[in-house]
Parts: sequence; C-alpha cells; structure tokens
Amino acid sequence: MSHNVVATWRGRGALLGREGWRCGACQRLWLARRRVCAGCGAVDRAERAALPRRGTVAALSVAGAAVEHLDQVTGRKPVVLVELTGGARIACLLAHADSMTLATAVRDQPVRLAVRRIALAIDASEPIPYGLKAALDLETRAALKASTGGEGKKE
Amino acid sequence: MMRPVSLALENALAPEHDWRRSAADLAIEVAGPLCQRVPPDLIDALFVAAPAALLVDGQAAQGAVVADRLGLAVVPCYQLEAGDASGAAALHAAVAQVGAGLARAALVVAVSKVSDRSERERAALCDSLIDREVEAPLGLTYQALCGLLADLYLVRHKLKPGDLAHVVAKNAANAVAGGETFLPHAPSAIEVRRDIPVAPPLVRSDFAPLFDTATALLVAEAPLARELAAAPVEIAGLGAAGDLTVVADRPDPLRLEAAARAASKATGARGIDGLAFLEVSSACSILELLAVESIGVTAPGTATGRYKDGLGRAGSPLCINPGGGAQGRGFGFGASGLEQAREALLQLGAGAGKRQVAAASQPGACALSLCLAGLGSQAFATLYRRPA
Repeated sequence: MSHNVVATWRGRGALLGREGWRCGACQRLWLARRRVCAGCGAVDRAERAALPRRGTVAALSVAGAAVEHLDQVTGRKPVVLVELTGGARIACLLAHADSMTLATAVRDQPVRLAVRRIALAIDASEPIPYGLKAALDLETRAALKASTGGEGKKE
Repeated sequence: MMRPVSLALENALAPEHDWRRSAADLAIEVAGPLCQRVPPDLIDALFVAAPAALLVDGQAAQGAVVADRLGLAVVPCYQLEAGDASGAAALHAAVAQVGAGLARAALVVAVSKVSDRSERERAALCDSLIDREVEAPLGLTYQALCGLLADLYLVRHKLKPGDLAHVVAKNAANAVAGGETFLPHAPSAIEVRRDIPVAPPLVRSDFAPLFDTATALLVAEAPLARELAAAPVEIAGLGAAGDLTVVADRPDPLRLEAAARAASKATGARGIDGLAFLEVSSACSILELLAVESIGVTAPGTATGRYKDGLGRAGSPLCINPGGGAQGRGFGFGASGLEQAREALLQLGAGAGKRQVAAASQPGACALSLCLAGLGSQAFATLYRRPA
C-alpha cells in the first residue's frame, strides 16, 4: 500500500512524543484513541499521554513474504511484542542494522522505544516514513552479540 | 419476532488462479445457475461481498456491477464490507432482511478475484485487515502480527513450533478426503514443519493461500425454501461481535473476545455441546487455534494436542472444517464466510458426498460456523439446524 503522507503529518506530534492515549478515569494506557475506555468503560476520558519509554520483549518473529514458485521469503523484518513498563503493550519492529541476527535472542530482554526509519526501500517520490521501534540498549546489544558469537542465533 | 429463515440453494466455484475471468465473470458463473433455478421475480434482494474489488481492481460499489451483470439491477442491492469476513456479514444481513419480512428470498454472492496480483501482493491484501491507523505506521503486517501471536502462544503454553503443524495437517486431511481442494496430497505434520518459515514460528502453509473463487447462496423464508429445495437448512441463530482492533491493546492477545461473544450469541442457551461439526476461519493456523479455544471447544493451550490426537478430523467426535476450511480448500478473500454456510447447507442437507459428516445427517442436527475478520477484530457466528 502506498504511503499516506497526510497521515504521517497528522501523526508527527504523537510519533515524536512517543504518545498513546490514557484514560482519565482508570489511567490505563492504550495505543488507539477510543470514545469508551476498553478497561473501565469511562466515556470521553481519553487524553494524549506519553507511552512508557522502556519495556521487555514478550514475543518475537521475523516476518516476510513468500515469493511465488521460488520457495523464497523476502522482505523479512524482525518484529517484537513489548510489555511496556506501566502496563501498556506495543507491537513494533526491532531497530538496529543487525537486528536480524539478534532477533531470536531478544526474548525477555529490555528495550526502549525509539523513533526510527520504518521502511528502507521506498519510492523516490515518497517521503521517508518514521515510526516507533524497539531498540536494545548498547550494553544489552553487546552482551547479546557476545553470547551469540557475534552472528546471532540461526533461525 | 423474526420469521424462520432457511438456506435453500447453493453454488460455488473451485478456487484457482483463473486469469481468463474477471470478478464479474465469476459472479455470473456462480450465481447464474441459482437464478435459473428460481422464478425470475422471486429474488427480491441481492447481497454482495467483494472486498477485493476495491483493493485489486480499484472498483468501488462492486455490488452494482454484480447486480448489473446478473440482471438483478431492479432489486435492492447491498454490498457488505467486513474484510475477509464480508461473506459472513452479507449472509447475516440477508437473513435479517428475510427474517424481517423485507424480502421473501435474497441472493447472497461473494466474489474473490485476486489472481491479477502476484503471491506477494496477494499476501499484502491481508495487510488491509490490520489497524491501518495504529499498527501499519509501525511497519507491522498481517503476517508479522500472526507470527507474534503464535510465538506468544507457544511461550505461554510451553509448546514447540512443530505443534502448530497439526492445524494445517488436519485441515489438509479433511480437504483431500473431501475432494474439494487445491492440494495434490495431504501433507503430514512433519512435512508442514519443513515448509519455509514466513513469520516464525509460522510457515507458509500456516497462511491459507488466496485464490479466485466465488460462492452463492439463496436465503429464503422457510416455507418458500421448502418449495425450492429438497433439503433446506434452517438458520437457528446469529451472533456477531467485535473486539479491540489493535492487537497489542487487547487485555489478552491470545483470547479472541469477538469470537467468544459471537459464538455465545449464536448458540444462546444451547451452547456448543453436541454440534455435528464446526466451521472455523483458518486463514492462519494461530487464528483457528485461538478461535477454537476462545469459544470453549478446548481449554487454552490444549488445541494443538487435541488436534494431534485426532480432534477435528473426519470421524472424530467433533469435525472441525470438514471441507478443509480456507487452508484446505483455498482462501477466498471475503468469500470464506459464505463458503462456510455453503458447507453447512451441504452437510446438514446430507449432500456433502464423501466428506459427509455422519452426525450432520441426523434430524435436528446443528452446526456452527465462525468467521473472523482479520485478526479477530470482528467475528460472525451462525448456527444451522437440519429440520427435525
């Protein structure tokens, strides 16, 4: 699907502020704005709020797409489900150029939310899309690299 | 009070990649035979499910095109869009229309025309099913979210990736035995495990392949259905519900709340015990597992083991997807919900041939179909009953 420039412009504030929505009644955090809180049922109490910056990887995958007749999978991207400190949860891509090799080792590892480029290969006429990704701390990353022999675990 | 409504007539096209035919061609070929079997003025409403038309052809209001091509432009036409559950949504709307007395008979047509696109682009059609406001800007895809759910499922229940293979193996076995399938043979769980990983722990076989296909059903008030068909099947209950569309926002991502609510509404006090068979969306293995567990067929984390032991296969106490579902028969984008209803009509009408479920031939037998939209953002459940 082509990139929606206007949607990117609309979401720029939330992206840079790493924001979600907090229910003013029960204080739960959500990624989507909802008129009725899915937790407590409060109506029209959702307000913009910063998401917790840190969390732990609860699930992971390296998702791509199959290529017809070739038995190949291309466009693979490491994706993680992060339990954020404070109760919210987010599914997003894993940051870093070497995330493919580290992806299988990040389960239960601490990560932080960082603003990163989402798609690497884009049409020259389209703007570069940015979004939130899960990034490993330098220490964690170095430790994982060492524990996986610098190459990461094979899938 | 709703009037009794029945499924009267059915037709379906075999899923394939048919470059010679357009979406309108498919609609004519699937619905034409039904239109010939009933008096011309009997069909007084048309319900169309064709969500791929806008995504593949850029055609909005495909319902108008279908009505024109079928010679039904004079009757009210309604197009339902609920992603890959559009066929089930169209069926529910048609049943409501007939049940409310606004039509005596309604034709429901679901068309999936996707082969103009490559396999990669067809897979991307499923990306339209995730939350485009919240999830897509994060770089997520349908496959990625399914992979995360599958990984979370395995970790929580301390299972191995290979355990998931029993879903495909079960659906493939049912499909090959039933005779309506794209599969040359039924792969074993071991063969499925060796397939290429697409979104580990999920492999390519875990994602039902998208095909060109079409299904048509005639829904009629019960007395009329008995005139039109030798073995009509009653609609005994409808249930539809939604859930949080952002998977990460759900209190428990492994519980498909929409599926649970929809099935509960459709079955009511009867519950799910004693069903002759169950039809469940199998667009992806993890979604079938979560749906089966969420509606209470098995306890959380036990469905793969039960499948391994034979649950769901033809001849087991509860056959799940006797025709193989989307994984065994082929996935019609937006047509699979109507295909489930067709299977119910064939089975409960004792016309399913070599895949006939014995329990479905008993008077008063009931079956349930559960159709999910996307990753469970919506669910449509339908309870069918063979007349006593």
